[in-house]
Amino acid sequence: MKMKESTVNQIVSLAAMALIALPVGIACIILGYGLGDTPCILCWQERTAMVLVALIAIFITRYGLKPKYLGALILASVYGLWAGYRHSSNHILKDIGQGFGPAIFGVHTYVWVMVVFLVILLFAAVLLMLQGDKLSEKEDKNSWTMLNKSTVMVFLVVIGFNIVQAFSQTGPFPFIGQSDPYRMTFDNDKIVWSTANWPKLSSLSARGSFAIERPDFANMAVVEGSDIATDVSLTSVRTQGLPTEIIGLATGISYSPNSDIYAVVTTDNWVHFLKGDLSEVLASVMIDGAFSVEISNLTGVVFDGDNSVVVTADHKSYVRLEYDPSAKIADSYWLFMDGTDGVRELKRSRFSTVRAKYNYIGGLGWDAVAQEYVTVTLPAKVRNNFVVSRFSNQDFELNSEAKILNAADSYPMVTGLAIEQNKAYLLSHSAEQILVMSTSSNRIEAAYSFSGVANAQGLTVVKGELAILNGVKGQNSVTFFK
Amino acid sequence: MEFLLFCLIFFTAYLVAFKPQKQGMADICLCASIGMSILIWIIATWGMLVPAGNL
Repeated sequence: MKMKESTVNQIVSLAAMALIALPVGIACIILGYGLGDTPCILCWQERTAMVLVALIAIFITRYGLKPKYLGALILASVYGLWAGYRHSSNHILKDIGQGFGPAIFGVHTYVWVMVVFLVILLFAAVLLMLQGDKLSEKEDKNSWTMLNKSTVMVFLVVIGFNIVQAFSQTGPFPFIGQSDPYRMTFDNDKIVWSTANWPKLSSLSARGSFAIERPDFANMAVVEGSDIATDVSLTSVRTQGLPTEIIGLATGISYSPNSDIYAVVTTDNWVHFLKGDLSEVLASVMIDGAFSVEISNLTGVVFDGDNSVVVTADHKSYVRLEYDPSAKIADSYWLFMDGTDGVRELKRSRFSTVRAKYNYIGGLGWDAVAQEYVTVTLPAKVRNNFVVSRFSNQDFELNSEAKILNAADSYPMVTGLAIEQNKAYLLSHSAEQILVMSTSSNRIEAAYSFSGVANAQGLTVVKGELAILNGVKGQNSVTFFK
Repeated sequence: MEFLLFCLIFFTAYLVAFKPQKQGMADICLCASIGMSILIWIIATWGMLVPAGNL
């Protein structure tokens, strides 16, 4: 069954009228002139994309269903959909209820944009399917029904209102829309015309403040001025190489005094449990980083029980594991890519933060007194933070966060943490120091220098000594300091 | 900029409604309107062109 051209014409005309009168008309006349809402610069172009789709529909009613107009319709709709997605992404995952601007039926305008363009694309797809094998052609472009005339008149009236709003609220060229526009007004003393959104060539970026470089633990960035003046130097007691089965770059170490075992992680998702003298690997697993939660670039491990550890990736996803000689790897096919018997997975999920949301981390600590997991941010060029985050071991949610008070000129790269009583020992890779932070005031109170560790990646306390992991692929070692 | 763009859209719709024989000019105005809108959007998102969040 093929739909007649005149029927197509009337349907498209009605759709154009609905589009210009409802979303665009409501946004401009009711929200704008009625309630004082001025569109932001992104809203203006989302509204314009709807106007362009309605205009293309008017072209179709006048000149027929031609491929060039269909192409333009798809282009304008995809553009509008992308613009809505880009705009919504700034707001959609904020805390509940924290939208931007007015909401219609509880949904904000930038989200409605995506709904409108999805409906347009679905509507166009159905209309084209009903065309059968060939598009309907219009015989006479001068024929123009009453519905066509009404549609274009409604269109011109709504655009007239937009012209007045655009001129009065954003001004003539070169003035341009604003990011946070004031309430709509015709009072000259209150109107703001701005060129603030004209871009600078140097600020061009695909990801802006989300362009955060992922840490490379084999070649960590040098941070000048992150050292703290100190006269205290640690003395190296001994260095011990890790077994050669550990071939990846080791980035985390933890010691369980009650079980006399170590846990070591490598960037390639291997977790190893070792005997207390570091001479032998007792059990190993390679975590399947694609199952359920992305786990990659492991950076920290800490015992939170005699035999249980939490392993974390640089992006704060974590896995809780237990060393249990009776566990069979065959029972955990979907959790581990490779390994030996002796390890059981207890949980995997993500640590969510607020102040540390846009920073990677370099290690994980365990505060046995507070029963909390502790992370410290790695500073980044666009997110220069030095924040300590603490997570409950009951529900693994954020308990508290704070900026670390630090006397150095710039923030250090902390790649390991160990917590004893009320002191947190932060391993500063960038300054070759161990920073002593009070867990109550979050202030760095002292610093100890060390040397002889080329790539300090992990820290744990072993029988009163500080053990620093030196991460070198295939040649990982631990140096003990007093 | 938005004011200029809406003036161009108004003129394009006027051509289609009242001067249908000038289809070529209307087509050019339509393309210019789409292009100008995308240009303003690029100006607005110049510092972050793709959506926020984990890609």
